[in-house]
Amino acid sequence: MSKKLLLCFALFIGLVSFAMAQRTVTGTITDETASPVIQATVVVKGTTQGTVTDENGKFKLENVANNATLVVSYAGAATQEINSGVLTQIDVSLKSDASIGEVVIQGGYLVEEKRSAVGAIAGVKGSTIENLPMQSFDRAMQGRIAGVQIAATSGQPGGALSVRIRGVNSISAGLEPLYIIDGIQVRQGAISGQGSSNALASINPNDIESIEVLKDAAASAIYGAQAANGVVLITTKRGKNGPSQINFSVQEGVVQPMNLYNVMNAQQFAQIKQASYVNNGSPASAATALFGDPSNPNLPSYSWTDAVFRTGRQKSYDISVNGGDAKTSFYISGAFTRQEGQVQQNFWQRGSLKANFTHQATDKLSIGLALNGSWQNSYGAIENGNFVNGPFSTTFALQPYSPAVNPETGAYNLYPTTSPGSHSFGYNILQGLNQEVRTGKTFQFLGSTNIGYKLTKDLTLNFLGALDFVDGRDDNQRPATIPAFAAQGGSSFVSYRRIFNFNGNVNLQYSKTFNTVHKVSGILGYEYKIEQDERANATGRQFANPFFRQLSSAAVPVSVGGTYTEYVRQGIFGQAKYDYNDTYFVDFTLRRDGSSRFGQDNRWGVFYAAAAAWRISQEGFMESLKSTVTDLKLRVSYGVLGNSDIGNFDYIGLFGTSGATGASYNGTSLLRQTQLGNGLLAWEKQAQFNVGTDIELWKGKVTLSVDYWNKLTTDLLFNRQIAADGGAGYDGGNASGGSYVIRGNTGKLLNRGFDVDLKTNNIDKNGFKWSTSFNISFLRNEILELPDGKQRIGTSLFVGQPVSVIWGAEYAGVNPANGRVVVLDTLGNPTYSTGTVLTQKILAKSIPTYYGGFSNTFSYKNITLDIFFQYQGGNSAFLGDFYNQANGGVTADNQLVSQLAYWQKPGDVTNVPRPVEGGIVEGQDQYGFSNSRFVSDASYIRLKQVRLSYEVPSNILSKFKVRRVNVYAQAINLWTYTKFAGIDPEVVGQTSANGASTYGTYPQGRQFNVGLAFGF
Amino acid sequence: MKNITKYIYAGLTLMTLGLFSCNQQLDGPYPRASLIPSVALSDSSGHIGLLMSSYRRLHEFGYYGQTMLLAPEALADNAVIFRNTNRYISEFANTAGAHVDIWDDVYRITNDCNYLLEELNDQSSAIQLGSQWLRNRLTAEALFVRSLVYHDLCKIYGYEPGKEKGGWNKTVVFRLKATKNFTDIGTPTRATNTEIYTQIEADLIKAVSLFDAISATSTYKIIPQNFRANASSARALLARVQLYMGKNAEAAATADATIAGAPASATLGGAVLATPAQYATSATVNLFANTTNATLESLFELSIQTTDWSTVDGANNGMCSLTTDLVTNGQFIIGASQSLVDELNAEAGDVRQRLIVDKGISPTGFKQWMVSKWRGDKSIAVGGLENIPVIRMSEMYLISAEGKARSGNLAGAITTLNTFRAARGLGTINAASTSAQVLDAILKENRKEFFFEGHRFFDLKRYQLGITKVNNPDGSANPGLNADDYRFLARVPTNEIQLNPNLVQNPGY
Repeated sequence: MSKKLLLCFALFIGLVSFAMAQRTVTGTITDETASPVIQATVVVKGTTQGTVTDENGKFKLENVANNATLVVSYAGAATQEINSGVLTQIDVSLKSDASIGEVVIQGGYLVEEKRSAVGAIAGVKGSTIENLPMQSFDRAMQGRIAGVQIAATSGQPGGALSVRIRGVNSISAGLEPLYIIDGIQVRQGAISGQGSSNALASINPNDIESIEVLKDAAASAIYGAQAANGVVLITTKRGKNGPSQINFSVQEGVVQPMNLYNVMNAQQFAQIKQASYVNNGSPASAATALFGDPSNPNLPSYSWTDAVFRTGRQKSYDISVNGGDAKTSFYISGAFTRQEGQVQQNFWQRGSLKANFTHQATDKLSIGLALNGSWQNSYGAIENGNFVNGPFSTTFALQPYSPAVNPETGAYNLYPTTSPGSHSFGYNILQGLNQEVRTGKTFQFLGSTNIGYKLTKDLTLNFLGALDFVDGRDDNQRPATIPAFAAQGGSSFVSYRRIFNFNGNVNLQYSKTFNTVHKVSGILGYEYKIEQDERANATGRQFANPFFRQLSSAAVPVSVGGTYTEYVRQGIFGQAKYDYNDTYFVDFTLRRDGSSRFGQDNRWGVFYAAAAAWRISQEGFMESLKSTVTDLKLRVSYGVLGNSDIGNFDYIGLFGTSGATGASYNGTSLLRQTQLGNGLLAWEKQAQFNVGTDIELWKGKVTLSVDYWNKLTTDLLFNRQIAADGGAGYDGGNASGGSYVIRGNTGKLLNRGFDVDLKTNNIDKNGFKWSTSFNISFLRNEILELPDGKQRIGTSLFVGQPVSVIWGAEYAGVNPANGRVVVLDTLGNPTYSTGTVLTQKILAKSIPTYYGGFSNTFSYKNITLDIFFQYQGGNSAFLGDFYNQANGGVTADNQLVSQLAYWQKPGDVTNVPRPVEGGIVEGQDQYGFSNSRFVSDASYIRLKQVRLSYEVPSNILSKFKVRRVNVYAQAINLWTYTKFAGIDPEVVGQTSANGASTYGTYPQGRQFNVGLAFGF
Repeated sequence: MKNITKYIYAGLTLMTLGLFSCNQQLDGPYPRASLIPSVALSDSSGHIGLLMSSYRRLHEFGYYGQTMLLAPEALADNAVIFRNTNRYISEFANTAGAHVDIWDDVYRITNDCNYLLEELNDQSSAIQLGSQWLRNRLTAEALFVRSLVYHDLCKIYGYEPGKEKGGWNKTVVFRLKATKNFTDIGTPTRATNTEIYTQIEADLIKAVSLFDAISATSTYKIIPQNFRANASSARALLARVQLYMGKNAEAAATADATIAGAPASATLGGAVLATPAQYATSATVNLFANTTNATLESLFELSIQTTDWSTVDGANNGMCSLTTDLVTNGQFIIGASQSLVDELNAEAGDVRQRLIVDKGISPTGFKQWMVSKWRGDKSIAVGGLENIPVIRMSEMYLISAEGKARSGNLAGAITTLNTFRAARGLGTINAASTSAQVLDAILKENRKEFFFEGHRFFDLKRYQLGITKVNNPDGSANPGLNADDYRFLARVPTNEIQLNPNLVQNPGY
């Protein structure tokens, strides 16, 4: 305020002094702590004249017209406009927009300032995630926001993640938040069937200005229909008023596998196999003939791990231009990224183009356009399961005496070399990776246009049209050169998909302040959304040459297939806000939504929220604390939101052909019931309560937000298991492992927890700065009620337990007398009976009970060091991999070296049972049953990012007419602390409702890279 | 201000328009790859499609495509596993819980059949179907399929009537109504063996009469080949069911009627008992090596087509791949046990000896007797594609003989058995044999005739005999099962027990 008074005073002085037509203006731009701001932009409004500040924060502008407005902007600070009057010296102090008072948030359809926000909203600025070697913004958000748990579900570059805002809020309906990018309600999830993929990776994270997460009912109720899992709003960069700026960056790096399983060499494997054979009554010679002689110290050994895994290269190039004048601004960018994965052939690349325009056509009419076109190309790898052609399960299982390649001819060996085809279906994984093609290519267009028309000073009419269009092609070619596919003469599978996703809304917004203290605003609108997903695929076999890849070269057309699905949602919404003197705030939101996913009588749902906030720091009684407590706000909200994230036609009974390859019997087409209907299906509802406080101390030295939240989901869109003997409702085609389910509204689920977000500026002295940002969330997930008053369903859902538990027998160790597995029955008594239900119980829980992130930024003059940790804990995961890798050598799979500690003679105390080929002793399974030996604590803290950057001083740069040069080196996933026995505690699918498991998951890699960013 | 009001009205009108069109727009989306039941079953192709679905499910690998043929062999004494791919290992070891797991598959099939039968009962379907004969035919076929699969379940989960141990007479959940809505599922109890057998027998008698009643001039009288059920298939199954339920004289009579009534060729929906020359001249030229036609002896045979299997289905799961070394990258994990081979070799001249091929010693030291029945003759390239005969004419001779022997007609039994033995290149048995000796001879013929067709375990169970597993190729002992072992009955899937409080578990589990 004092600055403004000063300016007014200066202006007054200017008026009374003699007028100058033009003059040179100099000044210093500082931040709140009076440190000079380097690279701040100073522009004469309405012209292209402008400059940037030097390393002392000083600027100089010549020939500035009197009374011209200077626009001072800097990333991370609120832009200021100053009437220069006739001054020749203007110093400006910028305020960080991290301060509660000044942040502008894109909350819902309305834009509001954070100080008046009554909802729980948290965000990440684009600058935080800039130039990170992470392919999608959701990955870059990990650990940055309290209450938002993000875990990679795959280490595939550009692969999938799971994002859970404040708990796991449903059992069978969707769990992912609603993503809105520049008004476009985008689809998230997979866009290719060939390896893990992520629709959100179509956005270049460097194009993002800000990410806001709406966490409670007050913030997200305006999105009623899909807001139960929270809302993520992404705003991409817009042009800035001033001279055009060009930014160019280049980055190069590598990705390495980390912490792979340590499996046996040929000699070790031969030893355990011989023991396994002998214990089963087979002659040792039989084992030796197959696996080699363990007493031979020179037994040649081959490492499949070394052959399959590799260090991948990563590179990205990015260029953007932005600028504008008073009426029109633009931001245009182009980028290309390529990242290789940790296994042979595997890669991901993206090319993207971005163009944003804003135009103030008249005083009343404004137009905005945001376009994004991108192309993703990924070469996937099979993961998440025990597949012979999946490198993450098979590589560690293949026998070490059997090399993949004949060293003399360079040709691929048959596997295993001693008896081809006898293990792992004879599939040589290295040959498979190198010869089997599995690509997904996707073109995605995101575009939105919005038109605003000011009907009066207080009333605006807005239109938004938004399109998310995806066209993709998957290829899976299995050439005849791979023995498994030779019989078919090779096969080729091609799948095309087209996704059309449109949303549009029209709304009226009103905002007026009465008597300077009563501020009233509101919105009334209508929204429509349609999403269509159509796919067609075909398979051909018998290719004359393995390099023929198109279906037209197939001699035998085998099958065609396809799917089509669609849904429509529409709603009306209204919100009224009242604010008294910037101190008391109340909000009411009401939304009525209809979805085609429900039967005619149950389509419409009404959702609402009420919220209030009190900015205590505005009160007179806080005056004495003003210098300490610069801002203090209390917030409380309650609301009911909806979830309809289920299949598009779950409510109708259906007939089709699914589950039958070929869809016929003896050439006559078949038809069958494919879905049991439930005409009563209706919205899943979620009541959310939130109470929180935002505190700012010492003008932003410390900011703290604490929220307690409670979310009760009722009428769960529950896929309840039904008896198989009904013969209907099977969801697995004819494959095994499916279950019989029907969707209904039943059950209750409670999530509650605390979010804490603390940011501090610890040191700012003599050019040295240290700031930290810490967040932690605690949560509890509990099933309150299951269908029909049941206390449990199957082995996965129990009243009083979280939705994701691990079930099995408690492993009591190995009987030292005979090497047999002992488990505990439910009464705690030891028993040999591994297969009976009497030994099975809940072994562990797989939803983390706490998670968060901790980042530190140290800077000294032009050097900055960022250190960022991410962590989560309280959860366990089932080591599915151990079925193959820790079974004591009783199958033909290679084993972890740790399995050498197997029981050998009476008195041996060990955890690894006596190996017996086949694994069954007196009818009791010794290895292949779910037990606590395979359960591992998946808590971890990971050094996600270390980044050292150097900003070249501008006095050097000015000689080269370069605005900005920044060089940096960074490492991702550099260090992890965990007790987890699997490869990667992060990639365990811990947020699924089926218990976490790591069976052939694609672990994350460790990345190192260096980059250079130029600005002109 | 007037202008403003206009805009407001414009905006509001726009929104209101949106609201009024609401429900209409929400009605728009419709699945294109699926149909609602009333549309799907509005014409005869829908009804036929439903029946085809049940046939198609029969040859899934989880049922007659593999499990139903191999698991009973591994549970009994006919098979050894000489490569450990984790398959049939626990069945071979008779691990508690390892059995012939077809529970899910069966109920999917019975629901197809129940749905179809309810549709056919509806009078309006007569009009949709256009022909009374077609309606009769579809009804009879659905009754046949339902009876076949329920009988399979009864053999696995319960004791035969009169052969209960400890009075345990529960079999399985027996549903005769379709599950059309969620509420139809309920929490049923397990029916008794007598209830189910009585109903199955009645259904099959009805199926036979429906088949027989179709006018001789109707195109629905005969459907070429026995890839779908016909009058002979239904009679044959009836004979089998009667034998299992202890109606021995009736079983023999039905079997004789099947033999007498079956047309002489598959193209006419019939089958014959093969002569020794037709049965096998070598391992590669035998009854089972068929390409286009149904097997000569098949009274009911499942046709598997190239399009039914995806890329690696055959090599991973096909019968040919599992039992022979013919498929590239196939499995070849299971072969004949030494005791089976010894049994086949016990009498000279038995043509069935030709179906066993000596493949030497496996790398793991197991003797490999390859069974040459499942030779993938329709297409080795697609992973060993071939049809699966479910009921063969030879079974009728053995049912007839067993039924006679058990109902006091020993002379008749010996005559029928000798007819059968002659067709396999064997001489007559001692005319003075006792009933027990004749039954023992019949059991031996069953073993030699149907090895690797999934009969052995159920034959031993029906005979109330234990399973002796000696002569493992590696010399290690396998305890087998005593005749009264609880593991003769399968464990009801534990998940089902949890879902339905009225479902009780079999004893011992």
